[in-house]
Amino acid sequence: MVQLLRRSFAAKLLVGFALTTGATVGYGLVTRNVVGTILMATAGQVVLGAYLGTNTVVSMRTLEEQTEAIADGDLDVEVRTSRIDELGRVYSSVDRMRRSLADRIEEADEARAEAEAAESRAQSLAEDYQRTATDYAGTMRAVADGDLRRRVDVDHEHEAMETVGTAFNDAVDELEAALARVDTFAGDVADGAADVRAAAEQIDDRTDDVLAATDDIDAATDEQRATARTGAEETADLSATAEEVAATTESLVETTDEAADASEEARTAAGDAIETMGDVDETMSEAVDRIETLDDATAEITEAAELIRDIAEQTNMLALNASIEAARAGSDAGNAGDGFAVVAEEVKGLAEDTGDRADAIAEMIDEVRTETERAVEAIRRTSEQVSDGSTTVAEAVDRLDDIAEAVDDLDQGVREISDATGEQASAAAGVSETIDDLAENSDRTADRAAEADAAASEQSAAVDAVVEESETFRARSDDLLDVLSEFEVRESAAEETPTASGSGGRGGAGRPAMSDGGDAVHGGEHR
Amino acid sequence: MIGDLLSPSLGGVDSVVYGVGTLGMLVGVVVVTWLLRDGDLDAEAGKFRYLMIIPAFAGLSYAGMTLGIGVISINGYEVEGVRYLDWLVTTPVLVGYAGHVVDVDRSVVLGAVGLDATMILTGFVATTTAGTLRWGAFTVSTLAFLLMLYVLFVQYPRRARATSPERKRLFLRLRNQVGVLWLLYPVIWLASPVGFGLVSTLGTAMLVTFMDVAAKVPYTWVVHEHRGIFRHERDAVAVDRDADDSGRDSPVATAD
Repeated sequence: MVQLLRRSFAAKLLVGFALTTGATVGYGLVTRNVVGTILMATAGQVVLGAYLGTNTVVSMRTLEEQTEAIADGDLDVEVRTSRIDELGRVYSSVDRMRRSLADRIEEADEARAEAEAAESRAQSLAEDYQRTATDYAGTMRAVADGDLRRRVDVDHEHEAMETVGTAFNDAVDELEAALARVDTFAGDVADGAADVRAAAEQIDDRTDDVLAATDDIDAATDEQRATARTGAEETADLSATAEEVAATTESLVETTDEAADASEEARTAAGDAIETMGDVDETMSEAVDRIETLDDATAEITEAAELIRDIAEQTNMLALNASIEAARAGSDAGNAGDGFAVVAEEVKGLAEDTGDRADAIAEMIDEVRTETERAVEAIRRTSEQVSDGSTTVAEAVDRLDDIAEAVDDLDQGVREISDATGEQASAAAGVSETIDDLAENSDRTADRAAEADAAASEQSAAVDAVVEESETFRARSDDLLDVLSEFEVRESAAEETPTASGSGGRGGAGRPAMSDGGDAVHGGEHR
Repeated sequence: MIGDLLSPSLGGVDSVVYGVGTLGMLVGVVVVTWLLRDGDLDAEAGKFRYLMIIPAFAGLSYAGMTLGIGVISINGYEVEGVRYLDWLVTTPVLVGYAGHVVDVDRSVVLGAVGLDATMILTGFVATTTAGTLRWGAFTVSTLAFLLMLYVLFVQYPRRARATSPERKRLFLRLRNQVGVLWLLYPVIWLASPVGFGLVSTLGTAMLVTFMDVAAKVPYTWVVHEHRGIFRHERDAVAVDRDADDSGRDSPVATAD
């Protein structure tokens, strides 16, 4: 029921009409008043009108405003309502219409904008082409008049014009490079002709120098030949002398051998002498030992003599005492005393003799001892002298050894000298042969010098002819340069040519090498 | 007289009529309560508490009239004083709320409310006096009503600050209902015993009750239909997007 009321305006109207009619009928039945009933009916209509009518009016007015806005071109106005009855459906239809209209208009606008853009593009393209073509034409006329420095300002925005411009610039680049190269070439030819002339003159001078030089050579070879002969003679002399030296040294070797033998014998003899001296030394030592034993014996004798002397002194003392006693007894006893005195005198005499003899012995022994010591001294000195002699002999032996070694060395040296001299002799013979060869060569050199002299004379005539020809050539290349000067060529192109010709061109094998710097030239150099 | 005013006088068809009117007003109370309870809506923006005054105060006044409270006897007529008190309070709210919907300039709304109050007060004067003063007061009240209609129909749209189609549509519906329905009140007054006596007191009570209910309850229902206007800000955005996506079926900001 509610859904039906929402969906259908007619249903709402019917229900509202039923309610108000009910109220009016009820009012009439209750009051039974005509005016009041009319008023009630009117009130019902007014209420219905206020509720349903104003709603419809408002909806229609809003719809009208929106459709008018759409009609005036404002397609952004949304047409919507929560009504789902007949009016609500009108709303949604209008809104669909609005949206599809907006889409169509948008499409139309886009299409028109595209068409306008395309037209303006075409227009500006045509203008660009015309401008570029005019620009190109000016440059091309200037180039045709011979100003090869000019380049078209390449229009990179349009492919066709870019192709034309680039191709034209490339062609002028190649033409300019070719002309520049011909120009340079002609200049080079003129310079070359001058150089040839100068060179020919120089050759002429040199030929004269050669003639003079060959004369000098002739003289020098003669001198050389004479010198070689002298050398050969001198080396022959040298060879003989060396052979003599070799003979002399061989006899010297023999002599040194003998010296070596002699020194060996001397050494053996010295060894014997040393041995004999050793024997003498030994014998003398034995003699010294014996003399010392004698010394000991004399010492003992001396002691014995001392002892005898002591005894003699004591005996003398006794004899003195006995004489004193005898004197005293004589006075008392007559004769007896005298006998006693005689004995004492005798004893005294003996004692004195004994003492004298002992002293004599002591003196003799002292003399013996002194002599003995002298003998020992003499023997010792002799022994020392023998030792000295032995040392001297040993030293002499050492010297003899040194002499033997020296003789060996000398022998060696002499042998080497002998060998060297032999080699020298054979070398001298070789030198002599070489000098002979040299002499022959000198003869041949003299012959060649004579031939060179003749050739140089012929060459001089040929060079004169070259000079004449080169003069004619230069005159022609000057004519070529005059013709080329009618073209104007950029300096850079002229400078590039020598390097470009070395790097190989894109023009192919059949044409002269082109400048590879052509593209760079467009960017920087064109006017 | 005061005693008469306060003494309930149950019985009679009058009380039945006023009882029906009271029930009718309760429907409006339910509708506004529904609006206040709806969590999706911004009650502050919708000023639903002011809206509640309309059926609530009218309901109270009809309950009072059902019980026979506030009846004044003047010049041999029984006048329902509570009705005029009801009108003095609720009709400015009806006028003011319609202005609030499109955010009409405050001074203009106050002007309309002032004219409305003048209309009610002079109407009360016309009802309670006699002779020249009565007709003079009626004339003043009618002029105030016409001026108020001028303000509602001419000044309001000019001074409106919120002119979205949804708000405008709600405003137009509320204003048109008020403007059209209220045209009948002077006619009923002229036909009533206070005027030319063409209709009895009971007939007048029935007509006025019908008009009051018809003027107030649909008013709240129309606001409920257009409640989408007062959705919370974020929801409103979401609803708009939904509306764009799904087309006709579920826009909430507009209603019929």
